[in-house]
Amino acid sequence: MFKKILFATSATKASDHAARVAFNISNLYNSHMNILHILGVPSRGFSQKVTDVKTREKVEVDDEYIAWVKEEIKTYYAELLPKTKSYEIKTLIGYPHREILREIRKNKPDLLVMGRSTESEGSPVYKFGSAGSTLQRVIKASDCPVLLVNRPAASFWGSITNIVFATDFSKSSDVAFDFACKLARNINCELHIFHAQNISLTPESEIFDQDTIEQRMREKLRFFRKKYVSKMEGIDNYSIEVWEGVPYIEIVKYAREKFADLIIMAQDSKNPGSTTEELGSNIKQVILRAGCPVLCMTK
Amino acid sequence: MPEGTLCNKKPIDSAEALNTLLSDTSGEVYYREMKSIEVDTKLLWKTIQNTCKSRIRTWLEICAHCGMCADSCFLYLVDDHNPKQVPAYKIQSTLGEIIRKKGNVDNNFMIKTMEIAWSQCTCCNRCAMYCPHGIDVGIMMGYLRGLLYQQGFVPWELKIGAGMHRVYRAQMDVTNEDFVDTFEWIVEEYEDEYPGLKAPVDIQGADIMYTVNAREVKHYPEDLAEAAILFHIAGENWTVPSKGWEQTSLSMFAGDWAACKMQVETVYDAMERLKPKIMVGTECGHAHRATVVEGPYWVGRKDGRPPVKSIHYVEWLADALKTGKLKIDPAKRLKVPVTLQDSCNYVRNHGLKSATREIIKHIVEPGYFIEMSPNKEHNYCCGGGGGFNGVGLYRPQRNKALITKRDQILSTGAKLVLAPCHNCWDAIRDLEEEYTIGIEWSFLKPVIIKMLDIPEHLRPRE
Ligand code: SF4
Ligand code: SF4
Repeated sequence: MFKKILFATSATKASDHAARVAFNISNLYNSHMNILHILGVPSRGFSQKVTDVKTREKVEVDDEYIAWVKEEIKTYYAELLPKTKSYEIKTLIGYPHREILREIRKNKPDLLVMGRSTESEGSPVYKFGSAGSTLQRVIKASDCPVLLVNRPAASFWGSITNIVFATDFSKSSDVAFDFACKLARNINCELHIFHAQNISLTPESEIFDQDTIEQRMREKLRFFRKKYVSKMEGIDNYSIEVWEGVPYIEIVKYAREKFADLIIMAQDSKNPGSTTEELGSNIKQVILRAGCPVLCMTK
Repeated sequence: MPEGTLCNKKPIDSAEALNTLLSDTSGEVYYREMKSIEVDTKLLWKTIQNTCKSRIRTWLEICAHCGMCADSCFLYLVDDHNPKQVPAYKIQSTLGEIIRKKGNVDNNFMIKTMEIAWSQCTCCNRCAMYCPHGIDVGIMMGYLRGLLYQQGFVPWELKIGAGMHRVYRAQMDVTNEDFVDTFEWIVEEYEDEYPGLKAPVDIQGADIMYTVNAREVKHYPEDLAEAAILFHIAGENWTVPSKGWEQTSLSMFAGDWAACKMQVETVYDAMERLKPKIMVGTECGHAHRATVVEGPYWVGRKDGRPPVKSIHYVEWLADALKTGKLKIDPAKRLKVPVTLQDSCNYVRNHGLKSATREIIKHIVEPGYFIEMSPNKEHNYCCGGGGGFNGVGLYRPQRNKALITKRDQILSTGAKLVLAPCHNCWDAIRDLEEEYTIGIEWSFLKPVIIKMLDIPEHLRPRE
C-alpha cells in the first residue's frame, strides 16, 4: 500500500512530528523513503544564489553546499533513519509547493508526508503572485494522498486500527472514500464514516429548530447508507454517524471518541471557482487540531 | 596567461562546459583568471572596424560634453551626482577610449570597462531622450558589451546565461521536452476549475502563438496556467510552439551577438512553421526588446520586423479588455492604492504606455491609481535592468540603484505595484526584501484572473 513514501521536510522542528510518522510508516510497511528538502527560492533574476529556507541567508548552491545539506539532514534524522530499510535524500531548488508537486508527478509516490508549513512562510522571498501556503497549494494539486501531521499528539503512531473518514459528499470525497476503503481492507481495521452537519450559529447561517435538524440528520443518514455501504464489501467493522455542529470541531471530537489513528478527508470542494482560494478552512482547522495524522485527497 | 580554463574568449557550447562553469562557486576561479587573460588587440580593432557603424562613431564624435544627460541617468542621481556616472563620461572613457587607441588597451583597462558596462549602465536608454543630439549611451553600452564579451571580459552569470541560450535555446536548462511537459502538467492542474482548459501545442495556423520566459517554466509554471486560463476565457484560438517557445535573451545582456541570433532564430522558425496570425509574448520587457524590436536586425530581416506581427502581453490584454473578450467584475476591481512600473524595454523603447493604462482603467477602481513620477517613457529603470539583477559581483551597486525606484514608489503611497516585466518584478521584490517598505507587487495575469467575470458556460459545474 505504501511502497514509496515521499517525505517533504524542512529538517527543522516544524517537520519533527511528521518525521516520526513518516519513519514509522516506512518501518511498518517496508516502504522506500524519499526525503525531499527544498533548498530555497531562486533569488534575483537568473543569478545562482538561493535564499536558504532554514537560515534565510543567501547561499551559492554548489555541489559542496548540497553535500553539506545532505549531511545535515542525515545528522538531524540520525535516530530515525535506521527505521527505514531504504531511503534517499534529495535536494531541489525552487518554490517548495511547486517542487514537491513536480516530484510527485515524476516519481509517483504512494503517499506524501508533510509537517506544518515552515516558519519562513510569509517572508517576501516566498511571495509569488497569489498568496497561499505551501501546504495549501500542495494539497490542492497533489495526485497522491497527503498525510499531514501537525500536533505532537498526532505523531505517536503505531499501526492503524481505526480510520475516520469525514465526508462532505463532494466529488473529491468520493475519491477519498475509495481510498479509505482500500486502506481499511488492506490493513483490516475499523472504518468510521462521519458527516458533520454544519449548524454553526453565526449571524449568516440559517437557524434551524431542533426538529428540522434531527429530521435532516435522519435523511442524511439514510442517504449515507445508500451511497456508501454498497461499496464497502470486505469491511466488516464499520460505523456510520451524522452529528451536528461546527464541522471541524465535530470531526476532531468524533475522531477522539473513536480512538482514530487516522482521519481521511477530501479537500473542501465548495469553492472551486478560483485558483487563489485558500485551502478549505474546515480541513485546515482539522489539521491544526486533530490528535492523529490527517490524510487529504483531492484527486 | 593568454586564456584561462574558465575565463576565456570561447563561448560556452556544451552542457558539460556549462556545468563546469556553474560549479565554480560565485565565479571565484573565473574572476581570478580574468585578471591575467590577454586582450587580443588586433581582433578588437578589426571587430570595431567591421562592426562599429557610422551612427555610433558619429555619436562619439559629436558629443558636446555639455552634460545635459547627467541628470537623466538614475545611476548618476543615486550615486550622489558622481561625475563618473555621467552618461557621456561613461561611454567616452570606455568605448571612446578603445577607439581612440585603435584597440590597444590592456587587461586592467578591460576589467574596469567591464565594471562600467555592467554596473554603471542598465541600457535603459533614458539619457537619449535628454541629449540635444539624441545620443543614446544605452545603445553604445550594448555595443561595448559585445566587444567585451568577445574578449572574455563578461560577468560570470552572463557568460553562463549566454551559454544556456547556446546549449538549450533558453535562458535556463529547460529543454523543449521539459517545456511541453510542464505546460501540459500545469494546465491539467487547473482543468477542474476551468472546464475545457487546454494546452494547445504546435497548432498550425492559430490566431495566436504564445511565447514565454524559461523562468516561468522552471520555477513558477502557475504563470503558464494563468496565460492559458486568460486565453481560454477570452475564447482565443492559440498555441505554443514545442520549439522556439523561449522569448528572452540573456545573450543580449551578455553581448553575445551570435547567441542572440541563434536564440531569436528559433522563435522566428516557430513562426514560419506554425504560421500564426500574431505572436504574443509574456509579461517580460527585455524578451520583447530581443524578439520584437532588435531580433529582426540580428537575423538581418530587411523589413526590420519579425516574420509575423508580434505584440507584448499588455497589448493583447488591453485589447481583450477593451473589446470585451475579457470582462471584469466591477465589484472586484482593485481598491488599494496602486501604481504601475513602466518597463524601459517596451514603454520607452517601444511606445506601449497607453496599453498598460487602458488595462489599469479596467482593473483599478477609479481614484486608486497613482502614477509614479516621472512616468511613461520618462520613467526610471527599475534598478535591475540590462542584466544588473543577476550579477553577484555588482550586487552592492545594484542594491544602491534600487533606491531610485524605492523612493518613486514611496512617494506614490501605493501598496501594490503592478510590474508587467520579469526584470522589474524581480527588482521590486528585491527592493522590498532589501528595504522593507511594505508593498506588494504583481504581474497582471494573477490580478486579472481574480476579478474576471467568467461567462456561465465556462464556469465549473458543481
Ligand atoms: S547630453 Fe548628449 S551631447 Fe551632452 S554630454 Fe550627454 S551625450 Fe554628450
Ligand atoms: S542608458 Fe540609462 S543607465 Fe545607461 S547611461 Fe543612459 S540613463 Fe544611465
